[in-house]
Amino acid sequence: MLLGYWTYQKLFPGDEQKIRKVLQNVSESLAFNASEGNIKKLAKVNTLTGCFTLDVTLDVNVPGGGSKSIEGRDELMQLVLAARSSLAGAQVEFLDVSVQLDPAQQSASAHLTAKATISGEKDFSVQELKILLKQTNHGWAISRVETIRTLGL
Amino acid sequence: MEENNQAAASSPWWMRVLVGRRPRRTLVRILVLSVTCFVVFKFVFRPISVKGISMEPTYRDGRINFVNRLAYRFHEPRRGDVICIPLAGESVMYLKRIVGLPGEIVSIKAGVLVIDGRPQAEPYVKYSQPWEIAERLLGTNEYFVVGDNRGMDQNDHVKGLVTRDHIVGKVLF
Repeated sequence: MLLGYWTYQKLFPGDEQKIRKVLQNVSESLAFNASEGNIKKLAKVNTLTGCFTLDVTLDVNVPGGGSKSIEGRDELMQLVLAARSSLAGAQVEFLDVSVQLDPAQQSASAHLTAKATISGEKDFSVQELKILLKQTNHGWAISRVETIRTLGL
Repeated sequence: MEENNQAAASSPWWMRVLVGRRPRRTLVRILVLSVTCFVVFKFVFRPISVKGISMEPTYRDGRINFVNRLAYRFHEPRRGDVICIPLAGESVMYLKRIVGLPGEIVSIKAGVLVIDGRPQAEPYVKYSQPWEIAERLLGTNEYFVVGDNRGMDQNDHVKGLVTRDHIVGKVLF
């Protein structure tokens, strides 16, 4: 019975599982290393593009980095490509992910901790994020990302 | 009883070393120990690994410590306590020291902590820069937290307000 339930969940994932898959795709696509080939790089960028809506907005406000707003998927992808070209590599993880679906199941919000480690650096950076997702023709996609100031200052 | 002793004596020496003379009792002891460890380390003393430099020299990068989740069961957090504050969950937490208590006016002027207009001695601060943080009146449920390493650039050091319900516990040592 458990095996049947597990198989059913794998073949017919619920909305929350689909959303978690989108977030997992984002974290895996953001991660890269210097030895990565161009095909793999392109595949990751394509995957990443599919995870965001066309009109996605990012409101980033981090200590030491000031605040920055990004509007539109194109601008976001340009930022990602610029970061990739300026760094040797990075690992990105999304931890403690909690997902809340709206009753109509057309939108959802995810609350998580993003942890990023730059290749060659001992320390890692962490940031609490609130991510809003929308149901689109192609499945769930991220429409907004906001940073949360955990310590409120 | 005599039969048990005889059975224990007849078992090979390596089995007696591994599981003892009475394997059933050994198994029960292992189970009890496992459950006790699970309960203690999951719900009472949460192990943590310190990463980063914001609490130096008090806590250095790589040090292992424990968070006492029951520290504030019978009293409220106090000034000077080093506490853990979760982000979205407890996989990663901030490790900071409480310097301001609810209802106080907190500021940092030229690197000196000022509470309600009075400069405070901070013997745990070994490195400092002339930080400037504007006065802030803390709410009834708010604590001001900051790391011990004031030698960092102020903008690179995560510090600020935490509400009472957002405090996981106090660092054990």
